[in-house]
Amino acid sequence: MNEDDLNALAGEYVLGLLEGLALDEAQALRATDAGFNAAIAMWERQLLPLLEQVAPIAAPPEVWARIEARTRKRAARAGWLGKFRWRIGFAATGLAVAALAGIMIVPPLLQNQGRQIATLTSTTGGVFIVRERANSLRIIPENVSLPMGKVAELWRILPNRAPQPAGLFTPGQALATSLPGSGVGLELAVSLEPAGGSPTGLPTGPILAEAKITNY
Amino acid sequence: MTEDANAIGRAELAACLHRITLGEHAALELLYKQTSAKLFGICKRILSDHLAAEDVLQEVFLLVWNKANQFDASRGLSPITWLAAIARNRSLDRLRGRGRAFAPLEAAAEVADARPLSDAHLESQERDQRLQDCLAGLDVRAAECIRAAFFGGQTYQSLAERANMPLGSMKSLIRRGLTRLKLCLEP
Repeated sequence: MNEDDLNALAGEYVLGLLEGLALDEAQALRATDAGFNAAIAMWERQLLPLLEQVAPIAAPPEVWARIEARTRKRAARAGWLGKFRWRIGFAATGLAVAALAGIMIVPPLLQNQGRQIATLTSTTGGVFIVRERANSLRIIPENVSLPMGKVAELWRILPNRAPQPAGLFTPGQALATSLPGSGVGLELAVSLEPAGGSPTGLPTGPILAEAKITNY
Repeated sequence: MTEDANAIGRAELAACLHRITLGEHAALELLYKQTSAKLFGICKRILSDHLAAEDVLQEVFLLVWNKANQFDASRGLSPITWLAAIARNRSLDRLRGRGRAFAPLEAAAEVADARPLSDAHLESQERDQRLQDCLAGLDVRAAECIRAAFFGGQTYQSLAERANMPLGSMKSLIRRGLTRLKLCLEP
């Protein structure tokens, strides 16, 4: 393809004129041809400012109300994590701290399952090891200490969503949870809850450990 | 939008986007106050349908709330252009999803007559002026079709039908127009 053709194709692409086979071809070029991508960037730089000349129209107030309702949830959740993330002093407050029964000796079989992708340090001592295998995660507690009568509960948090309960840790056992899509953005958190787990369906106790999957 | 709002600088919007990546809800609110009318205008221009435009505007801000970190000043796009491009893409997706709506060609053509933004955008004004001049130098049908495609989410087929031209002629008209436009913009 000569340069003029490549430029014209890039222009058609940015204008949104391509469909079907032509669109497939352009997308294939995008993945392989630096010249094509440069031509697309040129057209975007030149044409997109046309958008700035469109006359503004005030949006009805309901739109912001809806956006706020959908985004405040995440802001509130961020606050929740922020509130407890730094409660490192928890273990030293004089509460009776007992090792989670069984001291979490991970069976060798479990250790060999999947790739270890993270080690979350618990604020009360011990670690949660995260292993990934076949689109699922296994979270294995090791030497995690808990106050008497309390349990550690796992939560999974997807971007812009409320935390979802993902099981209570029991002695010597890993918890499994699925990896959504690419997995990127998924947050895991472990909170300290009364026996039987959180009564509200949302975390009520301090966070023992948390991690966010940014890449894997 | 007032002159004040128009004068919101590039740096200020970029700072807003950065604060959004940190989860600062107040920054999202500020960004909405400063840009929603502009973006809603774009959604309405492309979609015509008021409710669909509202939906897409909401979608744009939810996307920005989650993906503000994808703004990359190094691409050479100003923050407002980046936001406007998201609003356009989402509007075009919506248009395609529900089948094409045919906004009149004149609706796109009148963009050329829109009043320029404030003096704060002198540089982009000069670039816009160049684009306007270059478009004006094209075959008038080619320039109209390029604008209609940009704002209307049209295909060659729909453009050919509207202009009552054979598909092949429409393709050559636009491709010739794009080649000439490129030569004029970046000789």
